[in-house]
Amino acid sequence: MRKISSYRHPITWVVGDAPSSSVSWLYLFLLFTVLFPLWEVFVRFEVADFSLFSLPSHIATTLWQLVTSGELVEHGIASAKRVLPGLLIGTAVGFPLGIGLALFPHLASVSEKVMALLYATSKLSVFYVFIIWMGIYEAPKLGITIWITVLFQTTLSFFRCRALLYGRENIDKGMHEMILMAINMGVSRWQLYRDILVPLLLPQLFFGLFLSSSISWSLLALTEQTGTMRGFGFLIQEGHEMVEIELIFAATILLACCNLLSWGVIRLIEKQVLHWRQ
Amino acid sequence: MAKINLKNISKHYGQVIAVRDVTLDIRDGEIFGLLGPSGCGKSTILKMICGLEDVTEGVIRIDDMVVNHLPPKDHNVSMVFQNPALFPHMSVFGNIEFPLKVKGVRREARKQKVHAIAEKLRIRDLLKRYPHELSGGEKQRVALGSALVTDPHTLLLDEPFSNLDAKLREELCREMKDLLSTLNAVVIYVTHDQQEAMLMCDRIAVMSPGLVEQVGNPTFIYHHPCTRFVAEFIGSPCINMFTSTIVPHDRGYGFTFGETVIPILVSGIQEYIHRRVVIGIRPEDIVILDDIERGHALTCVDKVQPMGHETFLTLFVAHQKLIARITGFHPVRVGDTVTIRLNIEHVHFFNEAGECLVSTTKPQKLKE
Repeated sequence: MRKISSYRHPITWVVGDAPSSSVSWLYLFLLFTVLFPLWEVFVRFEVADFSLFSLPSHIATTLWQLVTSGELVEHGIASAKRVLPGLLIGTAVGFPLGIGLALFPHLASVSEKVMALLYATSKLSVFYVFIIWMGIYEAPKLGITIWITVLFQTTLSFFRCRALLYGRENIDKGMHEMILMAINMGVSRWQLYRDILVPLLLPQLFFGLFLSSSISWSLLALTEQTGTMRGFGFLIQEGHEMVEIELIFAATILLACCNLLSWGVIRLIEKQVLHWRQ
Repeated sequence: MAKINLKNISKHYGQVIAVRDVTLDIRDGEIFGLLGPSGCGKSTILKMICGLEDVTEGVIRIDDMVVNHLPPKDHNVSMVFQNPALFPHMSVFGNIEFPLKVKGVRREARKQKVHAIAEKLRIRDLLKRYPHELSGGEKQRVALGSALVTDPHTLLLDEPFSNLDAKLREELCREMKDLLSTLNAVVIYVTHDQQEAMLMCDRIAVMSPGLVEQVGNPTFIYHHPCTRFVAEFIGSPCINMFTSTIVPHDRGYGFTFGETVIPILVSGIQEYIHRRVVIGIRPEDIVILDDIERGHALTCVDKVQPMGHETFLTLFVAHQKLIARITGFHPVRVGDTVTIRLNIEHVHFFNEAGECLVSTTKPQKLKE
């Protein structure tokens, strides 16, 4: 029975009601309690190949061993050290840079093309160049995170800023009118930058963080394969070499969790910083 | 204190001509309205005055100084946009303070001015809030505050109240009219709502796409529209227009209305004898009579719209639709036959090109 007072979204007349949050968690629980035993059974009765699919129970054991031996924390910290500072440094450089470039038309006309080129460049080949420049240890791993973050933050803020300044179609009219009003008041380039564009484009910064965090965490699986004995990427590499497939699964799950965790933190900070949004 | 003078202003966007040869003189201290349908170039004129759009042809003078090629800030003109453009990341205080900050006013002086203007606009309690916590009317007040805080000599308002509901709009209009008339500033007010223009403005310019049709006191324009466009644009419900022929009548002239000939009380129409003209008569100048003898036509009532304080009747005379506005409630029903009489003191004659030939309203009653 539906409560009379409760709000009903019009689309529910077509597609039906959405489940409550407790029900959706229940679905998830059911999915796992059905999926994993099924997987387990399939592999145990040799319907699926053990060496290819591993066993959920083995993966769980591996995860548990990582936790109890303290390896989880050790590898986690090593991986986080390669991602988090990169995200911070990259954002601190890329975001203001993108907006700054947009405010100098001559620079902007060049950087527009350069950015497109850099954006299209393979992140992997950049990593190998970094290895040659900085050695195989920590520097290129952090370097590639910084590179990705700078690239995303600069590009996103640059193009958004240009659209805002010139009143392109993908910007809502009110936003552009703010810029017109500021021009009318007689703002200088610096005032426009500091007092209007940087705060107005902050939502873009968080969007950039979401993107670069995902790419950076997943790229670890590759960058941590050389020149280190720590990190989830190293675990994946080890699992690969020892043909311990459950280790690959476990490390992959852990990487995904780290990514989700960063998203959560970014969301939290976003809510604090963008308190002026509805 | 300022006066603004536009001389033969044109604005082209590539092939599109947005404004065509507009000349306007806006006097010191007046509230001047630019009234016209959407897309007729009103906002473009505003943007040219404040320097946000460049002028294709013509000269704009503010206080006898040509400002065509000056940057927007040197026009010293404040503008309020249609969607109140408040900075979402600044509090109300910050928003009002910002123009002063830009101008390099000291912190103490800024604070003082912001509080003074907030007092005037009655938004003191809102100073700590953020734009998303404000209602539409409050936002508009704040936008006005940030426009007024620098004591501009000219204030441009681009449909400032068009996003508000009717009641709030009227309320704000009255209040702003009082406030604006205390300012030592020229106010140029753009709107497509003629009631708003009549309520707010000392003088208005009625625009058809790209052109200024008529400039003058709103009441004068209402009674002496110089073109058919102006007559039809000003007034709600719209003025009645029907075609008719000028014929000799008694010792003078008359125009045909259904089967009757109605005498014309003014001269100036002689050369149109036996020619077709368009007659404009406002809904309030059609009167329902009980006395058939004095009536001009008998008609059947097609529609009745009671509005509370007045009633609109839709009538047909010789297949031409007329709307009559009757004060108060009228017990007439659809299908009834009524006698109507035209108030021949307020009839406008247009030729087929849409120019007003003559209006029977006595001009000495009104000054331009």
